[in-house]
Amino acid sequence: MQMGSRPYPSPALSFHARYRCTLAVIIGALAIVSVAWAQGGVGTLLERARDAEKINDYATATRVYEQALVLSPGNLEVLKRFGVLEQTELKFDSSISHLQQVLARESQYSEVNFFLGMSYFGKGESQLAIQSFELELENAKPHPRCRYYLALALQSTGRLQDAISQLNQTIANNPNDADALYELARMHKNASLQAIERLKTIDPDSFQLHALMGEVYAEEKRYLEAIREYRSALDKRPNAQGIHFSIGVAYWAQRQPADAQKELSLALKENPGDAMTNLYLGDIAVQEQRFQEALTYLLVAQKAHLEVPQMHVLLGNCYQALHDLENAKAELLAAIHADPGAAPPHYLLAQVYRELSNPEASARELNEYQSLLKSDADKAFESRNNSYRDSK
Amino acid sequence: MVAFKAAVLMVSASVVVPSVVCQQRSTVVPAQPVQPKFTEITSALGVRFQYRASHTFRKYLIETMGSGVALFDYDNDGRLDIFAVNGALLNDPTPRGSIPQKAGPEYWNRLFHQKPEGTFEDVTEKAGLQGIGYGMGVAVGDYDNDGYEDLYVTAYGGNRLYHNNGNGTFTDVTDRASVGGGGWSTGAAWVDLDNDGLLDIVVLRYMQWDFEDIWCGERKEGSRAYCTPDVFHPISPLVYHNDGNGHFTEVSQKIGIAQAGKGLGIAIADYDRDGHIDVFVANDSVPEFLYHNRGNGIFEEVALPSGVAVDGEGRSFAGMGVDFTDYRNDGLPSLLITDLATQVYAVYQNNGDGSFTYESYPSGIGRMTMTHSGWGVRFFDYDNDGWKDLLIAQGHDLDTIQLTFPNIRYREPMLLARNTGKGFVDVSGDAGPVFQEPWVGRGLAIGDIDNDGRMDAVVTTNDGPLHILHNDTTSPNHWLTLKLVGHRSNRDAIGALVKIVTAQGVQFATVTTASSYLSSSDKRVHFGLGLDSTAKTIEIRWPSGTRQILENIRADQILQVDEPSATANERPRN
Repeated sequence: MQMGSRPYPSPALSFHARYRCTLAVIIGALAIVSVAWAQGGVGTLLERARDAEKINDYATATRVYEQALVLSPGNLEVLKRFGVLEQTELKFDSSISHLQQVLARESQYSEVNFFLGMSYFGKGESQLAIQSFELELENAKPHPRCRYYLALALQSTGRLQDAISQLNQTIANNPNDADALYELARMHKNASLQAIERLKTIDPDSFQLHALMGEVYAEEKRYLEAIREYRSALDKRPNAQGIHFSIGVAYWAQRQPADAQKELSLALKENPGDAMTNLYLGDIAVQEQRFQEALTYLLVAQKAHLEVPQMHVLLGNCYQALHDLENAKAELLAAIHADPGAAPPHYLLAQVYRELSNPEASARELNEYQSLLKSDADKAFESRNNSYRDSK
Repeated sequence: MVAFKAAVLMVSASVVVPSVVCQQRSTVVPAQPVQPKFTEITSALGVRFQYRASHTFRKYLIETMGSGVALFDYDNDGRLDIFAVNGALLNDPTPRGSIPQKAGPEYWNRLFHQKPEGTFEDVTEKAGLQGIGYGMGVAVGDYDNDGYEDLYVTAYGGNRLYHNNGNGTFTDVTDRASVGGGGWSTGAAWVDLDNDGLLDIVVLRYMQWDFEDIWCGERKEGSRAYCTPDVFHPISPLVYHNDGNGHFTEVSQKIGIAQAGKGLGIAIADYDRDGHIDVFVANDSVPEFLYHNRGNGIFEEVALPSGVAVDGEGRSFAGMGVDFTDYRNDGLPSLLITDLATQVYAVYQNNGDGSFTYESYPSGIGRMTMTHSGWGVRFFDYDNDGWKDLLIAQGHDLDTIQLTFPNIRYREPMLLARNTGKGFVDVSGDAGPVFQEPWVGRGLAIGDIDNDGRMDAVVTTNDGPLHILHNDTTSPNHWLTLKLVGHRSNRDAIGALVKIVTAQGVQFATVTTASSYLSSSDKRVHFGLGLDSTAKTIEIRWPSGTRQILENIRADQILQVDEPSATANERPRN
């Protein structure tokens, strides 16, 4: 919760409609004159209070709000602003008192339920905070941060799914809301850790826990630990599907092709048609220049219509090595179409054109290849400069 | 105390027979493998050298790149000597624009002279080779054809040319020769680019770099890393033409060896057998360069269309060291370029039509090098079976690499790969305890240090000691080493092509001191002859164009071959 960054409501200076009297015309007239004089004074005082708040002179602001309430007792805007100031100073009880006075008179006064919720939240009374935030959300124009803080209050009461739901709505309204994204990520992470803790409690040596930890380590690129966990999972459940695949991917990420291929081959036995397993095996075989074997894998993977530009590059590489030049050309053109900024397909295509006795097209592709390489080099250099400037 | 045996046999033989060096697939029969054995004998030979990289908190890239070593016979006593390049003191921080200096003897380059009994003595001061600046590489060549090997030492901020006075001393002639250069120089190669009988020198430069304080890697303690080359601009090489009067002229633009790159390793060979020597440059993280000699003194960069610029999938890699040798005995020099882990060392097989095929995996190199990082590299026939094997110095450039790749090592043992005739197999595990020792390997030079017919090696390590590996492999195989002496060609005969025919088949080699990484190897040409005790013919194509054939040469000797004088096909020197 960001207590220091309050969004200020717009000042509402027309109170004349809120006070009605049935006094005699003269008395009434006198009263009208009196209220008009007071309103002018309150407006000035509110401006003075705001100026004081701007320079963090909260003591002066407090005195000004107290003067305003003497001048215009029960003024809703003054009460609201005073309550918000007190919230800023972490005086939650008096803040709540002032804000409640506003709501007692006008239950949907602009943004007061939000600030009341904030004060409850600051005080640690999350349930009351949630009620206030929910009331605020019933307004036609609720405070823009209300849903975000409702999510935080919900999380603090353990209602994680509700909190995540509110954050998702917040992000739907503003996809670039970094605070909401951060909290969402944090909640998912915490949920994950909670689940892992529960798994540990149930059985610290369970298949599920080892498999899960394997994934966690793999995500962190700690492949040695990942492989160790996956292997422990396999010890618990030797026929578990998918674990050999995960081990194979971890080995390949470490560029250990022999081990990767062994595990992926075991994964292939589990599911011969699995596109990703075939893609990885194809990738390894291309890397090792076993093109005929690679093509067998890649053609299976291709049936799944994976949206992976690299698939076309791998297929193009295979076809070229196997002298199936028209298919090589088609795949490499598809690779270029899928990822126009990638240089390697142009290099491979240049070789294909050369073999097709088309030196002009080959030279054109080599030029494009060099141009993209230069562009990549320029970007890398620029990125370094930016990063260096940031760090300074 | 281990001492090398001296068994030098010098025979001057020159028989001029016009002939043709033609492409020919070897019929050398793969011999039964013998157990390789190498032993580290550095301290036993009295060599103590510690490379001072001056590692800093700021991780200036230069700290992790050095350094080179040379194996050469500077006093013509028939025994190889060792020259090791050293770094310099780096302040932490070092101000931008600084040129580091050797702050004391611990930073000196060192010359070790091999004594008759095979041990070495440090003669640096007497020779006047202490050096200046932060050294990187070394190239050996007799640029003035006076019969004594001269030294070109590259460095950051300026290079030095040392003329060998022939009396155990050297004179710094850099300024007079106008070859000081500038920037960050790395690999260099002596080669007669225009066949005028005088060695020119090609000097690579790494990148546009100074001591700017750049933080690379994660911003947390222990995670600062050396920056990748991607964050620096490339730079063009320098090419100095030997004018013949002790003066050189920079001609890179004029002759077309001027592409901006990130050059480290350099190798030479006439890859298309047109009689003109070509130049290959190993670039770090940008495409490699192949400069084809068009024969008129002009070069054309043809790596991309020739298929040697990038790997088989069109990706550039961190080219470090390179060798350009006919390891297939087919008369066509092929390429091996070392690089960093996860990239696999690049092997390009020469197709004989000006193009190359990426063959890292079919050659067996790919799978054995996926998790290794290579630098100095040379093909050499360690078991004399007639097939050139491979020795590679290894170790990553990032001392933090295990933080991101736990299975990749900063310090790595050397790699010894045996050429079976059909591909390479890793025999490091059987080659002795020295192949179990993890080093931060960098420079590597090859030569028969004790003239026993078995090729030895010298290896440098970053911020570590120099290592001498003695080849103790026992085999029934025979050998032949040729020391070519040019008279119309450059005296070192650099660029000469040698074809040797035995009963088992044909082998080829190019005379060079270049290749590897920042290093310079013995210029003598070594052949393993297998079980053949005689070479039927030795055919030499000298850089001058002269062709020479020797017949029925007995094995197991070091044979000096002098270039013949005027012949029918003689042509005037430029």
